[in-house]
Amino acid sequence: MSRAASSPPPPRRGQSYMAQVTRQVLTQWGARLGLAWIGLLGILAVFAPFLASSHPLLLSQDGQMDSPLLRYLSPADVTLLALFFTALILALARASFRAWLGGVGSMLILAGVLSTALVQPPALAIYEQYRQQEAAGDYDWVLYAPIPYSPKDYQRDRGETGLQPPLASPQANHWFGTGENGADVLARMIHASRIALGIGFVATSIALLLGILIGGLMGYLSGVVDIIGMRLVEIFEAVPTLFLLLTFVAFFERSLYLLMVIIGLTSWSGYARYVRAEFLRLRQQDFVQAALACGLPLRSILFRHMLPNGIGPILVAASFGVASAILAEAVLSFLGLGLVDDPSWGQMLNQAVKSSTFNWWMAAFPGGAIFFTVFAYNLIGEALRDAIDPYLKKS
Amino acid sequence: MARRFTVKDFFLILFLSLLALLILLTMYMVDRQWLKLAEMEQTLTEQARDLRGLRDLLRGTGGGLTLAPMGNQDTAIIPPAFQRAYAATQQPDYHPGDWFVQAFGAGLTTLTPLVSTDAYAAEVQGYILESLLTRHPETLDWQGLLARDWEVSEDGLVFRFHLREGLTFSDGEPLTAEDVAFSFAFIMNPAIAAPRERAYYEKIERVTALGPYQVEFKFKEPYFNSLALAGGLAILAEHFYEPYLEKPEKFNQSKGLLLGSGPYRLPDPKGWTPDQGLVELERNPRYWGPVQPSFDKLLWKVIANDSARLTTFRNGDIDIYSARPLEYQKLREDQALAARTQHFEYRSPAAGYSYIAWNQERNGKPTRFADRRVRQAMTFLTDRASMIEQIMLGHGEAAVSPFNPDSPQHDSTLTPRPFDLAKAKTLLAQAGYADRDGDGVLEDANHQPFRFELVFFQDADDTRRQVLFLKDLYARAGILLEPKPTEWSVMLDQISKKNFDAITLGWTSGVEIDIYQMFHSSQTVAGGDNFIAYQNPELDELIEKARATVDETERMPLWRACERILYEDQPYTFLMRRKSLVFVDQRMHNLGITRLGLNLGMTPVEAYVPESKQKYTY
Repeated sequence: MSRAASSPPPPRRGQSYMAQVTRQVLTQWGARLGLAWIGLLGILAVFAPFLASSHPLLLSQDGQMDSPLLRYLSPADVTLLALFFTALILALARASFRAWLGGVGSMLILAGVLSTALVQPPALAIYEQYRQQEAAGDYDWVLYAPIPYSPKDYQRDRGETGLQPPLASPQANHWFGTGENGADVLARMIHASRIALGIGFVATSIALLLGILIGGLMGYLSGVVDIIGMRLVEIFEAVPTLFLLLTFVAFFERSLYLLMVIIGLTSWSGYARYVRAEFLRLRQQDFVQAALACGLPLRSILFRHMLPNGIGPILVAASFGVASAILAEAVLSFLGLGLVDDPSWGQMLNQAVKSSTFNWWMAAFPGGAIFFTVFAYNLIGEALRDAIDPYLKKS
Repeated sequence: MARRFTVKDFFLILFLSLLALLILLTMYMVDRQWLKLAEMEQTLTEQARDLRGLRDLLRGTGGGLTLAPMGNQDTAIIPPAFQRAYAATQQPDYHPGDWFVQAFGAGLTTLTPLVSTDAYAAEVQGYILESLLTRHPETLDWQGLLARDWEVSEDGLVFRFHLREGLTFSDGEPLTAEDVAFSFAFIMNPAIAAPRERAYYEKIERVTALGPYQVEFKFKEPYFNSLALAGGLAILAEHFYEPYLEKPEKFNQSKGLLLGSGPYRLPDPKGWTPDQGLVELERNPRYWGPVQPSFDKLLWKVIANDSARLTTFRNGDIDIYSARPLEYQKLREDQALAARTQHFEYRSPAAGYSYIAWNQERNGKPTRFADRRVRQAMTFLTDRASMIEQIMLGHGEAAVSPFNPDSPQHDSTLTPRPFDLAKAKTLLAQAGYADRDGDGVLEDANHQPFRFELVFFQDADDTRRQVLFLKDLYARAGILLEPKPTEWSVMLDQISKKNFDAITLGWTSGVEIDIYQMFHSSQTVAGGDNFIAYQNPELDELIEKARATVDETERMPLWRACERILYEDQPYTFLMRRKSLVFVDQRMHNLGITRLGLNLGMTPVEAYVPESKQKYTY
């Protein structure tokens, strides 16, 4: 450790340590499975509108080509696609960690701002119009997405009553059956993967950011700051997140962003504890003392010298945190307090016990998705812990 | 050597004083137990005396309530209000006993009359409190319950009721005209939290007891529903409720102050609390009525979860279950259930109708719904036929107006507006709406898009499905509906502040209803039920006239005129009157559908369980 105090090695060492951990994690089959599942969900989330949509991909009307699907892409869809392709390019170019951070970050801001300004999908969607026009023979030819239903397409034109088991409805092309209002379950599940991943990542990022900041200051400065900080942590640990969420949902709007922020704001205390403990240990180390003696600013000591050495356990905790944030949203939706008609796994799971019968497909598919996602994050967390813990490595 | 006072001594003293305190508390507790025992003993002797008296009475009249066949002479003694219940007791398999167990979907907050606001509490009170008159379930005529008969003065302002003799409350105290007068005075006391009841009874100038068995109601002005108002007054016991006039706060916050003269009573008229999770009524042993109720006990359990309630019903632990349409279809196909239960499908006049109310004024400014053409267009867009077909599975009918279609108030030439997209679009174009920027959403003259929030109660599944259905319907005309599920208390707050665009709710109704509170412009005041700021001077005049007309043949055309105005104005888009879909355990006999709905919840109690099927026997 003492060698780390000389200035050039730390980044490379950090780099190689990261690579080492990554390699270690990837040797475990559990982590591979977990990552594969999350990766699959990520791809489903990014390409959701192209996989499941009532708007045709491409159609030809009186010799004119049109793509309603592209017209109906929302700013969020465009931003996600832009981010995905940036990440793909960066991965192919084997970019450094810093390039990753900079590239994805700037793309997020750029695409976010540009798409909200430029992309304006129609506010109203009448899903049945394509089916009706196709039946009327208005199109020369028409190409649909693999699953020709949008998540909010309740197929009013077909007069469906909903809650039909897979392949049992008159059209027989609902592979996972239909939900309460007659919407295709598979289409809803694909679009719901966005909410599941989004809420997990955003809520955990907020919590991580707050936790590292407060915990880092507490651990490094110790003394009065530590005492006050710990009391703050205790206060936040005493807040029951679920009840706070229930109250907020009851009195304010039901917004996904609000849920993310509340879950994030109430779950940072655990990370703060971890970071504080790590920093209390590290602040006595020679390399920190050396950095201090060099007169480096607090920001540099905290985040460039100490944080890379203490991030390991926090990443483990964060992967479990993502899982619990997903579960929190599922619980809310299951209680009927989630979003109104936006798709969510928990809300679909809630329909499994509706109307006096057990609708197995509403329990099996969304329930399975929740289970596998939470399980995947836990597997990754396990593997990370194994890779980072030096005592486990030696044995 | 003087001993020092040490820490050890301090603890010793503390211990000793604690011990002393505990002993004192124990003594107090034992004392209270003795008091309680004495109280119980007294009640027991009281009951024994009552029973003896009753037996003597029965022996004296020879027959009475035995199963011996009775001649016409005896049936003549049975007052008309009890005829149906008496007929039930004459069935060959009639046998008193058993319990009637039901479930509530939500916890009750209070059982105290006047303070309670929900239908659940009203259901319980219906078995305990009685009024002077009651409606015959088939003819809908008024019949005397507590009153033997009554007379009306020439001008229709004074009603004089003659009470029966020998009426008692369930604690043995006699019920006299004084109690009737007290009940009115109690409601009108501003310290009592009963503003809604007070608004109704304001029509009455005074109620005076002319003698122990005679009471007079004097009205301020002629009112069409005056007999129902006077005859429907729930009679409260003066000796029981009078002390609370001095401490009204205690009454207003009480949970279970319920004592009346009805066929059932609370085991402890002061002690019920919501945390018990159930309501249990026992037979009133001193019931004055000529026909005693059949069930030994009425029990309501609180089971909030729908599927849990259904499971309980399937297991036979509750006797009645109200199904939702989708369930009804599936449950009827269920063989195991069909063998054990009977099902009823009926439209009860009390069930009322659901509607969307269009708020015409928000923050002092008229909204887009202030334009009648817009409201008419919204009604044209509301495809009620397919809504009933797809969401209610046909178990309902489209509502035209607040009036019950079976009542003479309704003009049968009016039919619900059909779904007509073209007409709606024309009306909206006339009102100045057009898609000005090509995004598919209509804009008004000021380029504001036609979007509005529809507030609905968040825990009602069928309502949420209806709202999503409407969202898709309105989208076809270029109108953006934003569903806004809301918590009940927040919703009430929004209603009282008139802070919403549109809201979907339901009103319960009756055979002949008064629309003054919903549609008269005077009711737009804060806290009034005209929460959409709807004003029409022509309608105001007609409502006032109809209310003041006592003669039915003159009044009905006035109501129909009101209905035509409402039909044109569409202050609400009336949605539907849903049918009640009820499953009842096979044990229950003598059930039937009357013009007031299923006769199971009625008093005097008509349903019974034959001896062979009785389940809860002591």
